[in-house]
Amino acid sequence: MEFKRAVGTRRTTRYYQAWRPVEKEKVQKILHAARLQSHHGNAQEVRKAVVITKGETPDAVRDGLIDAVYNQPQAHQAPVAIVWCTDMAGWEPLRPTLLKLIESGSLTSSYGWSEEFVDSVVMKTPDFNVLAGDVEFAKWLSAFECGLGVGSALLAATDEGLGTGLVTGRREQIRELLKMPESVIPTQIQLVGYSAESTEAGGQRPRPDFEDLYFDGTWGTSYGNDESVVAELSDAGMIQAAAPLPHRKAELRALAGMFGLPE
Amino acid sequence: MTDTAFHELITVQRYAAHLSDLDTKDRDARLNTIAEFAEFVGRTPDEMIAEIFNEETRKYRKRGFYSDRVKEFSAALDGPRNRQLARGNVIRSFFIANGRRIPPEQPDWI
Repeated sequence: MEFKRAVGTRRTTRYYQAWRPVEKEKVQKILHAARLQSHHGNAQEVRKAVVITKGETPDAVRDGLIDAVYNQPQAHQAPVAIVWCTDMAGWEPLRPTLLKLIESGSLTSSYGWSEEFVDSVVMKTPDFNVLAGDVEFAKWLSAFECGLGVGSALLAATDEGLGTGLVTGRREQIRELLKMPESVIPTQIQLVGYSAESTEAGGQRPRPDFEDLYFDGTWGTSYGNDESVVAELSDAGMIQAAAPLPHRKAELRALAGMFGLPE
Repeated sequence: MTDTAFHELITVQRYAAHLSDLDTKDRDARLNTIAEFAEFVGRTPDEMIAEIFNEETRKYRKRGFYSDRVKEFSAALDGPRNRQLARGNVIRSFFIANGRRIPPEQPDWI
């Protein structure tokens, strides 16, 4: 699938084909999409995940996770749940990671990068070495970096023809259930499975106007939303028909009937 | 309760608005199911909605009671399991339309 179409086709899927397993290789591709995303300081060990698979992970663990995400019906249905988390211990190897980036030619001497610079400046500056400063900032940045990876993982699932979506849950319960160490904080849970909804899933979800979100030069001055660009993105499938499509209510009634759920 | 009084209840009107895409026969059948359930538990629809949730503590207080009554009510229908489930889900939909949730029964195949 072309990138623009993947962005435009992604939905938060809320009905999954519970009877249809997800191929392990597809899950692997989703995880790679997250692994290869950008990360502050290339501290990739901050962003981790535990995969829970119906029929493979012990039932007690999967049932425990479903309970921790408030027994939402889509969690019962989706055969795979990826529990994304941040591991604060992943920041500890920041120095050797940066040195590897220098060695690999990613961080260049033209921009002042050297082992001495890493030791004397970067490792002592909390904006770069987050463990040297405020722990709240470190947690905030970790969540941000985790989110970057999850964003890619959502698109990768769409690219693989899968339905996907994020749910939230009781983090401490999840941490204990999955035997995570103290340094780990569960974030959001990505459900993965074949969607039981149509590809359009009722249409692209409501979004605020572009002009209200993105500014040019100063806060509040709209960046401008060129109509020809909008047309190009529509042709490419990134901008799609907005929800609700005319048949959506009937589709939801049919889905509710299929899953034995109230409408 | 008269039919008119039933239809004038705010909770019934909220649910009816939720059914606006259905034809009259379907809509009436569902509203009739609500009326039957209200009789089954000996409360008006407004009383059911008021009772299940404590506005002061912002917590459910009789969810287990209603969850059990819905199961009993649906099981009393002489018919296949999926029709019983659908009947119970009409009641759950009524609660949802009024901002309250009774957990659904997960089908065995999930």
